Amino acid sequence: MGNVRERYFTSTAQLAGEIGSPDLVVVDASWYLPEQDRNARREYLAGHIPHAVFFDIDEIADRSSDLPHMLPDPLSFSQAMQRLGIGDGMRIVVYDGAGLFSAARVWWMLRAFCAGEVTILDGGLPQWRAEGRPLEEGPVTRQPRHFTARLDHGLVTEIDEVRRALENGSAQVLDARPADHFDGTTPEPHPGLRCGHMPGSLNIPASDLTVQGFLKEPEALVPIFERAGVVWTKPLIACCGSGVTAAILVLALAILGKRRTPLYDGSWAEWGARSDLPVARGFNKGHRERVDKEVKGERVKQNICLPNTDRFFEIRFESIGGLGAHAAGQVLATAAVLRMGLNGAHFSSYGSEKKGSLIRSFVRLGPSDWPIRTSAPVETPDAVVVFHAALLRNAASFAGLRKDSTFIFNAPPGPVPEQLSALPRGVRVIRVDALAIAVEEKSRPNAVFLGTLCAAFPFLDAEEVLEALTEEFAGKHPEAVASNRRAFERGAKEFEVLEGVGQADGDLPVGHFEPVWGYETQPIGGFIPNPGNSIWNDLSVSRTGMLPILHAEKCIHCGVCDLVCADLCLVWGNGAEGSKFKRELKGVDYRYCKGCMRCVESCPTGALTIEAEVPGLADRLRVPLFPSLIA
Amino acid sequence: MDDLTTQLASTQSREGAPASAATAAPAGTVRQKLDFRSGNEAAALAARDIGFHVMGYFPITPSTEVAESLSKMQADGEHEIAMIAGDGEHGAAGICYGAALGGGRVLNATSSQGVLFSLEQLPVQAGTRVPMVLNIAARTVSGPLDIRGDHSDIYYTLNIGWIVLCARDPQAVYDMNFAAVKIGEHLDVRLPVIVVYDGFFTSHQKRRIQRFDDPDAIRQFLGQRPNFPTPLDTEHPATFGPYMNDPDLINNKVQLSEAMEAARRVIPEVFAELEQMTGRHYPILDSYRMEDADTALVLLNSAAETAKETADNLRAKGQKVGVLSPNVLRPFPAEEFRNALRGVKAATIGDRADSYGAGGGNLSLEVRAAIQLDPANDTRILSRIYGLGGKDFYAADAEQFFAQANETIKSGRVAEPFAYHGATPGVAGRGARTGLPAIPAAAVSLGMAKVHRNEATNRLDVELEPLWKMTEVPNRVAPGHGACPGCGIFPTLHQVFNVLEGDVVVLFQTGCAMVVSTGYPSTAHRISYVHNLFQNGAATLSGLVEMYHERVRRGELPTSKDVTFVMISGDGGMDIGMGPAIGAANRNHRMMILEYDNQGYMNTGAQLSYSTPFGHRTSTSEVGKTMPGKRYHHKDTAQIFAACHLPFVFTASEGYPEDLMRKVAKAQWYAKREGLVYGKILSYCPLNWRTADDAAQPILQAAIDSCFFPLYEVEHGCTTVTYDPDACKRRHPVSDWLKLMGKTRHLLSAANKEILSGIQAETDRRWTRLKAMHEHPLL
Repeated sequence: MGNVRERYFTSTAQLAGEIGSPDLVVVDASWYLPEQDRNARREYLAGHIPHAVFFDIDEIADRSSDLPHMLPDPLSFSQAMQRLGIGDGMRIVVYDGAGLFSAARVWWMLRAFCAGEVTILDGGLPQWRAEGRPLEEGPVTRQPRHFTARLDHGLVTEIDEVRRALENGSAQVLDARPADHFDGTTPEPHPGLRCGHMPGSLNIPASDLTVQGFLKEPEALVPIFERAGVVWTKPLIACCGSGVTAAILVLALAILGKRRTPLYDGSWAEWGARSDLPVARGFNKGHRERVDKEVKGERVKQNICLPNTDRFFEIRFESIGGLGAHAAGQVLATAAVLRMGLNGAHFSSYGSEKKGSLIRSFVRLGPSDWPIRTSAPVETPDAVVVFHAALLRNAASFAGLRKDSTFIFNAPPGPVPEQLSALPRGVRVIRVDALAIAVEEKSRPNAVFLGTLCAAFPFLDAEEVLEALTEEFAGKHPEAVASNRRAFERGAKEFEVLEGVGQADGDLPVGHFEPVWGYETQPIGGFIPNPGNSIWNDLSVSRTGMLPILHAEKCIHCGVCDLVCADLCLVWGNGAEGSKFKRELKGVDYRYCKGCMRCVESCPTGALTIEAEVPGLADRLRVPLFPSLIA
Repeated sequence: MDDLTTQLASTQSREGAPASAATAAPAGTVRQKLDFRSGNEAAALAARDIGFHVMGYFPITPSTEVAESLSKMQADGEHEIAMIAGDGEHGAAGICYGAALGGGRVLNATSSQGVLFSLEQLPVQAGTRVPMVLNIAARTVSGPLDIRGDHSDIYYTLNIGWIVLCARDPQAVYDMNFAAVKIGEHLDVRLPVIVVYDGFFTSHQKRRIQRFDDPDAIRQFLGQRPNFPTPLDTEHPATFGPYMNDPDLINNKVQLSEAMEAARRVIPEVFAELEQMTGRHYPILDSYRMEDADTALVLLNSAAETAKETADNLRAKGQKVGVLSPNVLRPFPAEEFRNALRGVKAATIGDRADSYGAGGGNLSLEVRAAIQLDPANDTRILSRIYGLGGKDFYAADAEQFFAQANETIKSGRVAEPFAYHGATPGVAGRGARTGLPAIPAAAVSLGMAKVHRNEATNRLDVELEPLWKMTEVPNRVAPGHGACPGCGIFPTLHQVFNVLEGDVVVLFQTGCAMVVSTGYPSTAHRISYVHNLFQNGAATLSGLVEMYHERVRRGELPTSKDVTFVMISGDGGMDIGMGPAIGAANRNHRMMILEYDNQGYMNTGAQLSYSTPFGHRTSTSEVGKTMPGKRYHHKDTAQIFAACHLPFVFTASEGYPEDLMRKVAKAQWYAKREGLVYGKILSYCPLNWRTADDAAQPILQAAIDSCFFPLYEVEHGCTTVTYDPDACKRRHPVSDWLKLMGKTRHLLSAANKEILSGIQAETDRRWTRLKAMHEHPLL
């Protein structure tokens, strides 16, 4: 990389040794922003590098334009160079009083007009001074030389082209202004200009690229661009406030191998003044926010579009223990916080319940600079993901859904479950056969749902979520990484958006659990005077796709299965008239069966087998344990 | 104000984040790293980064994760804290006290009943001035048992002489642990320190945190632990903990009180030093938008953060409201409260625990006492009890609190000085559904196991009915419980109840069986059932037994009932509850203690129990490059009880139902006539053994065939092996058992060869000894 740098920079030592060479011209390109309150010409006259001529950015410009220091026409530029004594074939070294600031602009102008060998003094005047090298006072006059100016149209671009690029994504527009200007959180210093930035542009503050007047090393530059969202294969356009600092971007990109990045010369001075053009501002107005992101210990910027501008983006996973809803929430939130630079929270509803029982997992996401304060559960979710079709029977699964929410559920293709008509009209309903995909890919439904979620909400960076998923499993279950990836990718593709499902008007109310006994009615001391009322619980949701089936003809009614049944759900009765068995196994009450299959494993005759649970099968084959109570 | 302005205003306030909240970009002078962690994980990370010498702990929800995370990190070689699992929180607190006396840095983490069980030890540590750090993930205190978060546990710690720091989010948990070490070890303070954060709301919620990435800076901040007198300094012998009566003790307490006062000065200094490093600001009393507030809401920990959002919204509507929340509870920031409330017209003080009968929770009472000393104060106070047992606190709740305070400003009077907020009155006639009718004794006395005393041997013989016939016995446990698929507890109970005759009263100690069968307002129990915490189940049942016999003797209860009393416990309950169980055994009450042994504390997420075998993976005996799982052999509980010279002690397994049922029938015979019976029953746990739901049979079989878990009984001191794998040529090496479970598969790797042979040797030794006992009636 050292050689690349030499192509763009001349060191102070090298310059000191060559000063006075007839083919070398040193150019003082100092220029300062109005708020810096420095007079570049006065400073030049008070002390400059020996023999250096002063290039006045405001003078050598298109004087007919209302915009500041626009690129002049080739003839004017040629004449200006002639006056400065800069001729064809000369080696030009440019510097400025800040180290690396406006020298980049002059470097770019000279290149745009096809000057020969132009380099920038590494470290600029500050470095030269710091090394105690000699300075010269007063003006420098050189013999006029002929300069042939030919505009390289590939290095400069105009407003229409920038608009098109932003609209159709044909190029990425990089804005070099400071972050607060880009965000519009600081009042615009130039009167008449609006606050903010071009919608869709990426912010790479030029000051991030330099350190103490030197351009950072390429290894440090690459991640700055990448984390801002720069895609190297895409054409890029550089801009800033008035075309000065944008040139630092152009220079940095050249060193990184993007040698011909056009500069939008009008920049914010032009766009910001045009009331007919759109403006985006921070996270508040545009769907765009700036976030800080930490990767490999370095803080950089990136743009994430969050769907909500006035509240958090909230997801609720409805599941049963063991399907991975908690892990899904954790992976998603971890990706959002550590990889996408958002702020986030993740937690699950814990009870004392076990594998196979209801669990809710919550994810709350917001822009990096919104503090997350509440620890309360998500009440009005932007998205609900239902892991198990049986949970559609549970009205609480729908609670708080708004008409602009998204509802994702796990079910095979087929008729739309009728319970879904209780959803608000307008809810986006997405069906994905997560269980089937998970089984086929030897993964779990959570990987599939994460893929679907990323597809449904493009602000969720699929690549980062997938990376977080991989990381989650790489340690504990390295064998699961590849299958999770496949499940994720299928989840992102193999889903259906169901139209016209929700029939309810308006948003659904938030669900607050009401206890059946209150302080006026609860038996004193918290005891339960109702023996065995757990029979009213329905545990069938705990099964994950399989159930045990009794084949009565093979059964010898030995009673072994009854001693291993963990759910106490086998139904026995006296032998039928004429049967050789005094006691007979009549069947299974699937209301309580969690599908452990210990009965099947214990059966000596193969009378119990494992079958896939197709809809309606359990209801059809169920033998009730308490027929007089729960038929 | 239109919507847009409201929205802008609320956005504005969002930008005014408290300095303590973790931001994406760290400020401060030390290198930090962004992470995404729960409160428990943050405590564990802090412990790792602090590098404590010793952690003594006992798992209890929701603080258990602290030890679990540290165990995982230890297995991966990330720290060298000596992790010691106590036999209960009382033991854990004792371990910590001893370790802290030894001169190093000590950590503990607990919750709820764990705080209370430790409580006897904690004032000793403050009174003898031995610093350490105790993290409390605050959880409601039993009973009835509730695992979720409120402040009823930490309010018990207000009078024990420990400094109490509050952490409202995971970032604060991390930071406060560093502060705790430094504050407690300050020469003017020398006190143990509690860091309290809300169970689940903070302990289990992942948030963005910044953690130190600069070991030198941490070392520099913490410095060396000062050399307090220690019994390990044998060149300067000293007496620690003398007997000190009335003329002297009061002076010891004056010193303690002065240390607390010194802490008032030291705490802000330490917070300021921490702030310089981290950029995060912790005032003693966190004041949010209080500058010109007319109305204030005073809340502790996480709920205060929720209330801040509400305050933002109300401010946007022009209401002058603010939120106060102490970052330090001991010493109590009375002066800070006086200053903050001086201009406030009305304040609602919410307590997440009641001081029953006092007209307010402790925070409310102490704030009221504090402002009473300020003659200039004219704040009207409303005391509210909210969020008990983990009831969520929403923005809407905070809004009501503000509204109630505003109402007193408007009306000029406090209509209701004290009230519970968010409770449900209930509807007359509504309630939990009725369940099943009581089971008549005759219906469960069908003679499935006929017991006879063999006069020749003086032992009992049992004759079992065929298994199919046992299906006639109505089950004393109803279906509909919430256990995991394949759980071995319910087959165990089913087998036990098949042969128990007549009326039975059960006491379940805390554990999976209790939790999954009695989730209010539903119960799976069809017979009289009592739960008590597992420190004390055996004692409780012994009391019930004696009351039964006494009331029968006095004619208050019928003799004819002849009730059998059975205690059901997990192996965990026989760790923490060992003392009372041995006590009950020594007293020889007419009752049974049946232990379902699934080799770990499965109810709290599979931590090691003393019954967990050597090398097995649990969440506190993790497997990693530096740790091979549990590092000591399993407790031989059956032999401990055999040494109590009980009439009958047995081992059994749900995988051998007939053997189990014979022994349980005998047990009932002895428990009714002679005294206490203990039985240890190996019971399947697919989730935490990391096996398929339906693999119970081969695994239980392998455990028994390998002689790891021999089936035997000790009847009047005579040992009988009831299944001898040698005799029936089914003996297998332990590896044939260990290879079947995910929690033990690592033991078969070449690297763990020595561990495996060690397990085999210990198994062989115990088995050989048992066979010798079998052969010699006197052994």
